[in-house]
Amino acid sequence: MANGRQVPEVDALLHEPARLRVLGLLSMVDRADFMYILRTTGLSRGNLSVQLKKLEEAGIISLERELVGARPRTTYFLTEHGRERLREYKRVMCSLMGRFG
Amino acid sequence: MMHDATLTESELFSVYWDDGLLDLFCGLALLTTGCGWLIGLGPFAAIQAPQWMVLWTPLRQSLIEPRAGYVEFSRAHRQRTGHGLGRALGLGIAVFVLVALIGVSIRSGELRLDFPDLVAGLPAALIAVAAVLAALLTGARRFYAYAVVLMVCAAVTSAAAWSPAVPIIVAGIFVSVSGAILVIRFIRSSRQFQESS
Repeated sequence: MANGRQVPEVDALLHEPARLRVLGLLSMVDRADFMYILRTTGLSRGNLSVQLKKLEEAGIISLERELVGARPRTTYFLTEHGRERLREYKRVMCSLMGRFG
Repeated sequence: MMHDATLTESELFSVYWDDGLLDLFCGLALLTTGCGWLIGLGPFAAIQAPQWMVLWTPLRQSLIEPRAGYVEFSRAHRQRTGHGLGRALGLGIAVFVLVALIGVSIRSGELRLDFPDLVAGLPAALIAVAAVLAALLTGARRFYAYAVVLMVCAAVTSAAAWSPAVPIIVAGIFVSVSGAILVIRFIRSSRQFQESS
């Protein structure tokens, strides 16, 4: 009889299409601002704001504010914790996919 | 400039140049070089070309970034691009010095070539090589098309024995117009994106 421990648990916070799009992008670049993420992922402003907030609260991404001339620039980047969670998520998903045969 | 989230970093990097500002500045640099050559500065007219690249950063920050957003590519990617750019720049300077020396030697009568008409197209042909390097560095394939235009202009100039400035001016106009069209298209699509998002 199989028990729950034999099936690896998927990270529910990462396992969401909009958040995966954001994380997929941030894993490829060093950092990006809201507008770049918005244009690249194709998400709506509202949806992106919500997803970024959730990821930031979980410590998966972090933000940095700086002044460029007179204009403020806020950039988002993956934290080390976020990279580790993404690696684990990938490992779990690969393991699950391997079972599908 | 809306992208697919499954794009790789290299693809993102090539899309980064789609706004056309780089094309516009390269075109203007060619145009001013060609005009400078035509009024008697010869290959030394190219000395003013880097000023366009100095202007590129502030203009990108004020015109493109508010619309396209800001991105910093990975350190590895930046290093690869930096090394490529350094090599291309070194090659460009070496070629420029060589062409200038040949030009000075021909003018002073120290050097006589049996194929002077071919030399007329040489500067444009060398710039075509730079365009290929730019295409390889940025991943923007239209720079291959610019290289082809430059090569065709160089060949026609050699055949017709025109001034070396002519193909540079013609290619400068072509690249500037192409860049201007891309910039206008980018600003229009950005406006539509702002309204729809």
